[in-house]
Order: sequence, then C-alpha cells, then structure tokens
Amino acid sequence: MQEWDEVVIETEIMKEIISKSIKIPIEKYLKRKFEEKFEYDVSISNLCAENREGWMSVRTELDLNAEKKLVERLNQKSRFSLEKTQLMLWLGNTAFAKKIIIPKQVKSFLKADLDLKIEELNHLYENGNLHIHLKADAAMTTREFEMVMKRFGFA
Amino acid sequence: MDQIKIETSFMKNYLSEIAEKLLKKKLAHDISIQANGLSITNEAGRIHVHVDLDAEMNAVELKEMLDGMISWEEL
Repeated sequence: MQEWDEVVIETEIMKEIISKSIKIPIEKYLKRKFEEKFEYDVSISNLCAENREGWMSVRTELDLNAEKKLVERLNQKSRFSLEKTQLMLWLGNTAFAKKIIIPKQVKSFLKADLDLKIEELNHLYENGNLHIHLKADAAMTTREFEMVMKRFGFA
Repeated sequence: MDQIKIETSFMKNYLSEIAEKLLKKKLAHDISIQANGLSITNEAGRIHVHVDLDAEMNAVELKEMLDGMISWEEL
C-alpha cells in the first residue's frame, strides 16, 4: 500500500497551533544567529500540505510581522538587504517578479531547488516594522526538504 | 475540518526525533521513540488523535516520566 502524509488545516484553533509551532524553530534559528530575542508574528490563514512519492507540496496563505529591531538586524547581514527586499516586495505585485525574480531569490536563500508559485504578495513597511502577506504554493523533493531543514538546524 | 495524517517513514522519523528531543529536555533521559503513525482529525470541534509509537526506556526513566505526568496523591 502506498503511504503518504497529508495536512489540511481549516479551523482557527489549529491555525493558531500551527502558527505557534512554526514560530518556535524560527525563533531558535534567529536566536542562534543573532544571540538576541525579537518580536515577530507568524499567522496562517490557510494551510494544505502533502508528501507523496518523494515530493512535498505546500499551499499556504500567511502573514508575517517583523518588528523594527529584527528588520534592522537582518539588514546588517550581507545576504539580506532591506532595499533589495523592499524593491522585491514592491515588484511583488508584478507577474514577472512573482514568477521569476522572487522564486529565484528564495531558491538562492534556501539553497534549494524548489518550485514556488506566488499568488499574492503584499507588504507594508511602516515605522521600521515590516508586514508581509503571502499566498503561495511551494513544492520540492522530500530529499531537498530534508537538506533545507538540516541546513537551517531544524532537523 | 482539519486533517493531519503522517504515514511516510521520512515524516515518522522526523516526528520521532522531535519527540525524543522534547523528552530529553523535560526528563534529561535518552528515551528511544519510534513513531509508527499519527492521525489527527478535527470535525465540528471534536478532535480525534490516533498515535502509534514504540518507546524504549528503563524502569527508572518510566517512573520519572510518570511522576512528572501524574500527581499520585490526587488518585
């Protein structure tokens, strides 16, 4: 019998639990990287995931809020530039950016060959705080996913 | 409705690793966990959880784990 994993999250309570569980490893990663704690929020409004025949696919809609201090610290790192990110986010509304530029940047950041389809990408940068809204489909091989998790210290 | 179903060995091993790490943090013991499957459904607010796992530990570790979970005086 063929085995596969499946996640479909629709209720508010489960969205809250999943959002929290996504926050914890990111928090650990940031703390290890910068050795300080930051205020930020991840909130999921839609999540479906499947792992079948060595291929993982995730469809999600989420909001991310990062406080000024975190945005500044990330900006000090060479791989992340606020100007570049802002430009990408501004361009995010164009089909070309959604289809070509951003997936390429994400692939390079994750150092992984993933298939990313962005449906919506909006942002608000106000008083140094950054809010991002994203609706996207991502797919990669299970092996690739495992490598990404290891690379970021989550597995 | 929510549905979480874990069947592949890749995700089962990943879950086992997380469970082992959590238990080590809580109890400071190396308890070996092997998750054989997990399914969670939430239908109209009724949540059903099915967990199939093997855990290996010695008697001291079992006692400490139960002491941490159960308040014996209240039983």
